[in-house]
Amino acid sequence: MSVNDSRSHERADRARRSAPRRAPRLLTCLLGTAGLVLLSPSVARAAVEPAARVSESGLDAWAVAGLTFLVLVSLFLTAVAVTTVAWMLHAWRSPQSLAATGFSGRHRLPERTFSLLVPARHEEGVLGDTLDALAALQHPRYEVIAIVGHDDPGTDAVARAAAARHPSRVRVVVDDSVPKNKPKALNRALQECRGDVVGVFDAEDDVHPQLLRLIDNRFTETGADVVQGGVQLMNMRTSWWSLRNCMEYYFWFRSRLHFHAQARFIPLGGNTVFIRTALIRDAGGWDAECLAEDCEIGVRLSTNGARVVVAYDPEVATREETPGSLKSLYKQRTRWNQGFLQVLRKGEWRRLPTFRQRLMARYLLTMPFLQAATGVMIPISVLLMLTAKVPTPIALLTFLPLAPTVVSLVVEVAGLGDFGRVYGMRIRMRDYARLLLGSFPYQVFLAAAAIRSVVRELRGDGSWEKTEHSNVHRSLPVVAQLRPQLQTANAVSLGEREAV
Amino acid sequence: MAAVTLSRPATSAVRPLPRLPGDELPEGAEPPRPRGGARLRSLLWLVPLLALTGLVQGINLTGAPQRFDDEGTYVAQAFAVGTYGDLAHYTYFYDHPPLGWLQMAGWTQLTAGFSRYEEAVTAGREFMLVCTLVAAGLLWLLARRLEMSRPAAAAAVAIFALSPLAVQFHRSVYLDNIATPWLLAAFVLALPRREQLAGYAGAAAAFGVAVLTKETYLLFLPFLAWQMWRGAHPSTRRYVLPVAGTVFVLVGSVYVLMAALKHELLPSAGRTSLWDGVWFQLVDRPGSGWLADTSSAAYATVGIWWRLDPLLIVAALLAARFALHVRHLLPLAAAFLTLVAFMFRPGYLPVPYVVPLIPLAALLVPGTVEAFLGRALRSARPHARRFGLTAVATVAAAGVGFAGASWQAPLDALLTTDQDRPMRQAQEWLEEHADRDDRLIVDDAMWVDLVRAGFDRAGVVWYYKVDTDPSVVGRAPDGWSDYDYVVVTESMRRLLGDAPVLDDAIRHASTVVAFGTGTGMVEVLEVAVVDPDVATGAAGPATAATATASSAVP
Repeated sequence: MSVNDSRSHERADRARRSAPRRAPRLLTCLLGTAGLVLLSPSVARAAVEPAARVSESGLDAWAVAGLTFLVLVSLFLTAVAVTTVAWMLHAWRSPQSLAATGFSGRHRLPERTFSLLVPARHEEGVLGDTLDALAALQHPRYEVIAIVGHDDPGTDAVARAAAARHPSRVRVVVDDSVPKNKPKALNRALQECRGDVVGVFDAEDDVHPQLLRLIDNRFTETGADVVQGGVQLMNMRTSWWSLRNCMEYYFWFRSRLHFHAQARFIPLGGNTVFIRTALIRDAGGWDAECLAEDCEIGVRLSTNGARVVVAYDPEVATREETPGSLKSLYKQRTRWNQGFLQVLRKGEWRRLPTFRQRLMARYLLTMPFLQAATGVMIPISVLLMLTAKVPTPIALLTFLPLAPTVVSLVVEVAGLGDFGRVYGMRIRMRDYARLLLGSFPYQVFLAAAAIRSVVRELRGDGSWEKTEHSNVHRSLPVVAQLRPQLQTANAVSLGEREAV
Repeated sequence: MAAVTLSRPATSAVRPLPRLPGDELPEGAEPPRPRGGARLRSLLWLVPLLALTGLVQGINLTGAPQRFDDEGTYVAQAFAVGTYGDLAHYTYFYDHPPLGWLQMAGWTQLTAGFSRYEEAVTAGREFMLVCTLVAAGLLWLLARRLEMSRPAAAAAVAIFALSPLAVQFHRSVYLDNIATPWLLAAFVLALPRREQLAGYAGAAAAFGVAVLTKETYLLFLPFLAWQMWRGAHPSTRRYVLPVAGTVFVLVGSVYVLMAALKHELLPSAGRTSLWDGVWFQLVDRPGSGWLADTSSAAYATVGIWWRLDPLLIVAALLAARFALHVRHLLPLAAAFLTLVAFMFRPGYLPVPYVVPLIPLAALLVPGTVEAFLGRALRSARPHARRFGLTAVATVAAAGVGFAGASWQAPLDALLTTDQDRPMRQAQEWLEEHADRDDRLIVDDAMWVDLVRAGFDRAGVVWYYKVDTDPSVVGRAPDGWSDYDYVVVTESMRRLLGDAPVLDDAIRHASTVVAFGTGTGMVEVLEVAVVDPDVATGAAGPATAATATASSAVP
């Protein structure tokens, strides 16, 4: 059992994710730091010679090459940062566009039947509650299918107990594939689905009771093939990076994903995603070999012309927690990035109908590469800035990427305030401080994950690294509503997991 | 595992889900997209108006008013950008942000402006014409966004094109004229029909450019912010406004960054700096006196405006007062009145201060008349309706009538007289009679022309720099006696008495030839050949000044 434990990464399997793969604001953050260093006058004095001196001494070929490089890097970073911040702000373009991201208020009768899939692996600590909550959703016709591994008796027992409590709602499907991963589990359950629509949830998800009715309405109103609901990480005060992780999700589901839906090229999230059963069966189910099977199915369905709709309301967003440690977040990011690269290599996106969509696909799926490459480029351009005699206009140009970076920081601050408002949390000054101070280290961290994913993919290492979770996003009865004790709750939950 | 309480509220307590903004959208939020027919009708109004604007400003563009010093300075700085690769023809001292003449340099570079005209300032005036045309188009758009009808918008553009005050100031090469289209664009974008975020970000960027073109436009900041605030919907305001604010700050910070990169942010010995420049404009610059004091420079400045178009000034003040009761005109009316009130502070009042007030006046007068006309028409009581209609119609008719009468003479002068002739004659005389290595003290308005005529760049000296620029002072160690000619214009006459070396040179010079009369007179003075004994004894400017002082004693 312990060999198959979740700590054994090579064998580890399913994971939940739903995925803000952020564009590399790291690029601009790194450059921004370079900019700030240069802003300090003493450094600037040493670094940048007046333009006149340059014209007197003349520019040699190396200097020209260096300056050209500097200009190109600046323009490239600016373009990337501008698209990132524009997508980040997509939902707030106008009051109408913000309204369009939500569910409509009209009351409709439920029209569809749903099969909700809950793959679980070594998650006996959280699965029972999740299944109970899912069994109590306000919708007349749906089933819940828990998928457990044949080698995971603990989770299996919890799932079967839940099925016994809710015999008309919950079923258990055993996945006996080896090695195990999430797409295999989903494909196994797909065979058993009886609903018109398949929905995917993770074992620790906190799902809103009304969600299914609203999703049903959304299908009816839009005639969509796929509806992606919102997912939100909640434990923003657990660690220095959890706040940034929460904000990533916030911007991804609140805003950016709507842009991708509109652009008709969308990497879907890993849960709270609903797909017409016939459509996913026609498409042959999830790609069992892909590390980012949710992104992959999104790209494949986009390519087939499926109509994808995103609907977000903070009230009904599925609540989750961040990975339990920085290390597991690191592995999670590596896996997502590598999954993107796999989707890029697979090349399904080449069949997208319009050039714009293909360009979008290439840009989005290349992000891990771009991130890694930038990590290399930044030090070189900083070195050039510090050693070359740069004419003032070029020096000004190298600061250009700083502009969208500053805007995105301001947007993050505004977003944190908004996040606190819609989720009813009091945001304090130290939260804002943590958000801003954490920006740079977090981007470095993401860059490291990007580089690792590229290395792993080049080596052909495609094994799954499972993300571990405690149960922090729910409040245990003992510590209900006592936020300062979340850490304790975390420890308790982890303790339970170890015990099992 | 124990039963778990979910942290979210109980199911029954779920509030109604969708919070749709839409019913009470603020002004400008989402009017329908204009259709083709509506657009065509707008063009049918706008194209003739733009043609009119272009003609009135373009006819006799160089003849009136006479070129003056500031025009020459901005043109020379644009010329320096293209020719010397520097921000100014003398050491740039952060008197104004350089974006205004950088735009002018862009235009003259693209169109080879300086090689198309005899006088460089004409190339600058051509760019002013372009700016006015753009501004007129934007004024139309702004009027329409402010819910004015096409006739009212047309009246605004017509006032903007025809008021003698507008024509004279729009022709002159002022940075304000370059900033005006950006300011109008900012207000147009702050009233977006659809994409509010993009509109506001664009407005902030345009406004940033306006401020970097002419720093006094910063006075409009509170009113632009107000306009945005009232237009922003509560659901998106917390994102939209910070983004706009950040964009504005970022654009503005380019100026600071530029100074920092040139090591000219803070004062240091022997260098100009942004700090000194700002200090000069805000603190050190001599004030224009109290506006109510009839002997003050401020009073004289307002007198220039008043003589050109008293009608518009009175009408605009009245209109702005009443526009405070018109919802969609309120921020602009408040901006207008605040800028007027700002003139009464004791500081420096620039002559072109009026430039950004002209489009506001042009907009507020017809806008207010129309708003009150609309109220009269909507009035329930027939009596009030008749009375209101009569009153508004009388005011409008009287306005048009007075405008026709009072604009005719000054417009006629602007369209037909050649007030620049003395300048051209003086230039021609110098080119014919002065040696190319002679050292001339001139009005900046002819600086580029003389340099292009073959005079040495260091030998043609803008009179303002004779006493103020250390490098110019250094090139004339013997003070006044190092110069051969002085060309005296009206702007120079106003400076006299405050500039020791320049005063000395004029005192030791005699008029060779004078062109024109009155304030338009341009005199060429030849500086007396210095007695060799005095010259050798005069080792520096101080000695020269002493010698001058003694020789001035009768």
